[in-house]
Amino acid sequence: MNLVVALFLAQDGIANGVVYALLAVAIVVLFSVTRITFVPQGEFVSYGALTFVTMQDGQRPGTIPLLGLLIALHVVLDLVGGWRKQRPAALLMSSLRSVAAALIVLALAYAGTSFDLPLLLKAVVAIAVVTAAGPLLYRIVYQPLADASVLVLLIVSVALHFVMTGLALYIFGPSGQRSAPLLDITFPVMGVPIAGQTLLILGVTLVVIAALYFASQHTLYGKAMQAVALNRTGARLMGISTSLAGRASFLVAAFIGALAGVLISPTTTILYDTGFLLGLKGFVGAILGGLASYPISALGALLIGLLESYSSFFASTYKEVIVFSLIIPILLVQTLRQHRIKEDDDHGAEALPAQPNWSPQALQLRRRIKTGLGIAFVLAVAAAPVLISDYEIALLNYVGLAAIVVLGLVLLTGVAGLTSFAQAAYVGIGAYITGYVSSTYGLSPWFTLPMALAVAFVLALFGSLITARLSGHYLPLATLSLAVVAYYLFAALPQTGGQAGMTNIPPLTIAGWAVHSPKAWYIGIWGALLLLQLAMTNLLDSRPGRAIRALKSGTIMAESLGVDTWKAKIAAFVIACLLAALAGWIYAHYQRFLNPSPFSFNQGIEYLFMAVIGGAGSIGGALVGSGIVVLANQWLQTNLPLLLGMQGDFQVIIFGVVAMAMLQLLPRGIWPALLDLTGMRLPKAWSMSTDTAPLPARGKPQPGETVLAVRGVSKNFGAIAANRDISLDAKAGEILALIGPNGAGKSTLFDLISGVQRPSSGTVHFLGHESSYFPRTLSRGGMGRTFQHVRIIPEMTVLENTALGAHARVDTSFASAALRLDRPTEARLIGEALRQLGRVGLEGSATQTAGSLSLGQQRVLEIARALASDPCLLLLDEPAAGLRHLEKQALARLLKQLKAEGIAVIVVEHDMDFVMNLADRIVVMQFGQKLAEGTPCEIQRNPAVIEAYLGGAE
Amino acid sequence: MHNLKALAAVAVLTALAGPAMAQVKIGVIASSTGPISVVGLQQKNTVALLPKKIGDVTVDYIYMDDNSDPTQATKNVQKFLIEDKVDAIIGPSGSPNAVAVLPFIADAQTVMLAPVGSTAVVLPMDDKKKWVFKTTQNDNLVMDALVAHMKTNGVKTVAFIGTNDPLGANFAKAFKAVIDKEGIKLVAEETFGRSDTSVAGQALKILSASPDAVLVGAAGATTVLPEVTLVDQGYKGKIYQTHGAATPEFLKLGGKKVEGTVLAASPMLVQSQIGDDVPSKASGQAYIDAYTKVYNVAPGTFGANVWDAGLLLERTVPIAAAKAKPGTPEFRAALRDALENVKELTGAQGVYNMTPADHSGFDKRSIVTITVKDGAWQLLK
Repeated sequence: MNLVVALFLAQDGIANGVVYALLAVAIVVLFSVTRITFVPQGEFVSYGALTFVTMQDGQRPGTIPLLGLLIALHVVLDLVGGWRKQRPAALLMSSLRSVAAALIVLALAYAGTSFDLPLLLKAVVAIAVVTAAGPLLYRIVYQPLADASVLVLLIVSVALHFVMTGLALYIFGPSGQRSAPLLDITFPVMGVPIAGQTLLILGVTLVVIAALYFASQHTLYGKAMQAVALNRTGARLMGISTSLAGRASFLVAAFIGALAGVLISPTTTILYDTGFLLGLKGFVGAILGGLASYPISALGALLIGLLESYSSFFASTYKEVIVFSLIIPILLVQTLRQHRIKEDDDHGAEALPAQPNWSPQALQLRRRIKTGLGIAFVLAVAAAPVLISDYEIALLNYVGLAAIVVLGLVLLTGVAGLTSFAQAAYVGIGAYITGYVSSTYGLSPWFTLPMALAVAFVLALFGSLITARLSGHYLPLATLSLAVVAYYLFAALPQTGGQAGMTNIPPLTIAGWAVHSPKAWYIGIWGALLLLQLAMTNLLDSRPGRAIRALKSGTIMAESLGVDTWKAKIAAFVIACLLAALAGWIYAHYQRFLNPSPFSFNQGIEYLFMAVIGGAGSIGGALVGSGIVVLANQWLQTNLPLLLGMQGDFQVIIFGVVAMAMLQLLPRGIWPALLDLTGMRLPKAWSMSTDTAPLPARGKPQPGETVLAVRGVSKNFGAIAANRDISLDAKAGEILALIGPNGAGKSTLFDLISGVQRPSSGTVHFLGHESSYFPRTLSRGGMGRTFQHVRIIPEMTVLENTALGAHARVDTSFASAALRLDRPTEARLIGEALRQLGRVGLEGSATQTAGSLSLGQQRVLEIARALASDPCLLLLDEPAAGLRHLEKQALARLLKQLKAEGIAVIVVEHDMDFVMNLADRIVVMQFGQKLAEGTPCEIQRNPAVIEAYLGGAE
Repeated sequence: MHNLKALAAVAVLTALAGPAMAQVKIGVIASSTGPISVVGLQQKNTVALLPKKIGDVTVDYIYMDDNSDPTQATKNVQKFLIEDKVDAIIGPSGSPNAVAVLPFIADAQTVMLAPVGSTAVVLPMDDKKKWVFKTTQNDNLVMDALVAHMKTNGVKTVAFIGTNDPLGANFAKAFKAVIDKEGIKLVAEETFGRSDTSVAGQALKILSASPDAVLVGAAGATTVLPEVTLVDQGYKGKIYQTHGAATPEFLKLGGKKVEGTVLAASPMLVQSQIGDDVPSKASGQAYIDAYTKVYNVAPGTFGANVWDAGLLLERTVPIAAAKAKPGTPEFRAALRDALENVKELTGAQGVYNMTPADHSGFDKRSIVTITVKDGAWQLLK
């Protein structure tokens, strides 16, 4: 490669990269203001470009009537939504006011397309039409979902992407378009011809990024949008409407997309679905910028463009493989630069509806009905081959295969909160391994099954070693990259048969008899599915299952309970991938033909779609979601021509619209909603026996022995010193209170002691050894804690939350949990949890969901949970906050009892009466330093303390 | 939107057709959405032009889209075979899709008229494939014609650039087989994505290998970008296209930059220039007229493959109906036998002569070489 070629490629890379950069910036705007991962950003590009080109052909583009339709829909939704609140006339007026701008654009565009405008004006009209549609889309699609989780917003975006692509095919047709040039000059720089068009795009991109950066930093409007991005509730309190900010950000994003479309339309062929890949690469750039920084996102996007350009020269077949493989190390570096424990800010905002309060008899009856329905379902599944046709059975086979994959996603995404786009890739790995080995070497599929699973296991381990370290938005992008890499490898490797596909895959044989008919497969697929569902139910209701369920509520809490979150994440990932590979193995021998498309990243997105539609957190949701998506698709495929008299194209549009509407109404998915509607979400029947063998207990230090020794620790956050040179001791059988005004550094000190933070200088010794500064090892060593802001798993029962505390005291494997071999150990765990709940007086609420407790009770629950870990040091962060007088007395009694048992207790507390009556010693902190230390009497007489409290901020 | 009328007409006609007459059910699968929709949409549109009545037999067409996805194609085929009990299937559009459905077709012993280019669906002929008849020029016929043109123009080295989808992969495979035989050297082989917005890297690579000629293996508007990029970068050799470029968009989007391109395609593309000695001329014109009447635009050549399937049915359904009642295995077997014996049937793109060993039927008469001159197709003599 000589210099000219290198420069040529650089120019091409930059020309493409700036377009990605524009889109990346738009995606950042949308995400930071609305938390929407806007998958269809690229669609604005193709709509803008194709609208522009259609006008050049002297036609009125279909986007203009589409804009009219969106305006009408907007008004109708406003009227329906506010029907009871206002007088209809006033409502109509206010609704019309909010669409006034769009109406004007519509009228002008309609008038404008009646004449042959100059090229530049056509560009303006095209951009205006698409831009006007942006805020309307926000109002129609996203505004009703303002409080939904990021995952649901993502899935709605996927549905919108389906709809927009389907509409684009309908409006613009399948063939590509190219615009007349806007700036038809080229001039050579160092022997490389530079197109004026490229410079135009570059200039516009720089202007847009600069303008956005300026607006966000220096204008009132931009600042208001930033405020919404940082704190939605706070912004609302300040009178900044989130919906206004949402509309504004969609206006900006649609404008940028349409602008990019018009700019690139002369340089390339634009197809109705060109936008998706452009948007995807913009998305990658945006994530490289942490979905927050405009300049870094733009640089990230530019980097993608350059990578693409050079790899298309060196190995065009592996272009996407190279680009997306390189993203993963970049992501890893980004993550390692972060703090080692990063909390994800999204906890899925949808609150569970309150559990109805059934009488024991009613509950009993409902449980019987539910069991009966379960049995009826299994019988129906068993009877299906006799009752329905081979074709319907074949459809159910596809449902079953998808459900096996989605079952894994339920564990991974719904339960553990790890969003994965890569499941289809693991289906492909299972399928291609067995396909290749059995067809090339003539091995029986029974031999290739363990082989396929083993390869999937190794690759899943590899994938999870990368992804389990990643947090936040990096994880979905990493799985997306894995999915893209896998797809293009399936398409390019000689062993897979590439795009032409792999044939001659032998059928599965059982004792010489080839499994051939859909009905024979049905027995295998649905038998496997039902067993796997049972195993998954068992797993979730077990010690390792609770560890996985804890992941979603934040890493710090789980690690502080001794849960190895890294291992739990890897386990969830590996189990999900093994299920996917199993489905792939079945698929290969059922279909006996393989090609890459069923394993593409689109399919990966579709599996995620099924999980969310069905109910991402529920095992039943996996089957419901797969069933609805597969059957509805086929139903639309078959019946749409009859219903509409038109054929084909509308299937995906209708499907997407229905999915969006459904998620607006039921953001938790169909299956959970169905359970609530029929009153069938029943609490598990726990055996409430405390008469179980005790768990192993650790040797306790002698009373008076020093358990914790803090020596001269300081902690700096940048220039701020949160803790300065603090030393203190905690002794077994003693209650030490830590008091001080707000901001004195008490919580930071707690974090240093419990290992959430590492001190900048100084040491912490726990039980005679220097602290590892890792919450998990400290917890396993006997340090129990509660949190200032309660961290519990609201959807889990009080009992299970408490049992999580005893997690590290026993060991049960995933396999034994899935096979129900862990019951003796599990009974001991539950017995221990019940005993601890009894100590804190919460045994009556054991089977309630923890989220239904009052805040005070939740604090007490945290204490029970900490006690379940059999601690020798207990760190309590404001345990009395929110408790009533009697409850405080009970808490004080409990703490005194713990002290008598030889436990060392450190309490941070603001309630002085509580502290003075309870503590043996008190440490007073102010401005990050230790102010005084002594008995309650000494402290009460200490002049420095009196000065600090009476003369201080409080 | 123009096709509304036609489809409504189909619906009405099928509704009016009383149960008294014998009825043949034909399932049609095309990829009218997804990556190969540029091929599939024309095929779908052509369904409305197929004969509604053959002799005394009414024909009922059931259409399904497979989203360019082989798995969806197998679902559709199973529905046709089990639910609708069709007598024959036309489709699917893509070669992998057709390969994927082969086992189901063979199991159900039902004829499939496949409008795909890949010979893999009929060769090597075996018990499974004997139910498949191809209605599109074999990919290698196209390549034979192109390579013959290359040979006579002294091309020694050649580069190939194709899409990274089934279409492009098929073109690459067929092309390499022919040049191997003819002793032309492949000096660069590149792929690109259908919706990529730039192929500058690939074009540079080709340029640096300085081949005598370049073949673009893609379909629809996608064919334009590699050629235009090569021309922009100053490539001076000959650029060849397959019949995938035989669409109006190619001329429109390519403009001056695709002048002189050579492609091999069906004579339909240069309908007015071919002599009356070309046997398919009249039939091709009939298709163009029928399509234009309904959709107000001239068709490309992809839909003609489905039109030809209709002609094959028109010839063979009466023969089979004389032997057995439609809807029975005997009818399907008779239809297959009749198709295997089709001789000298003139389709829109060529002449069919089927034999038990050859189920593609087209000969060299179905392909002509064409160039672009003054923004229009020009037949090369």
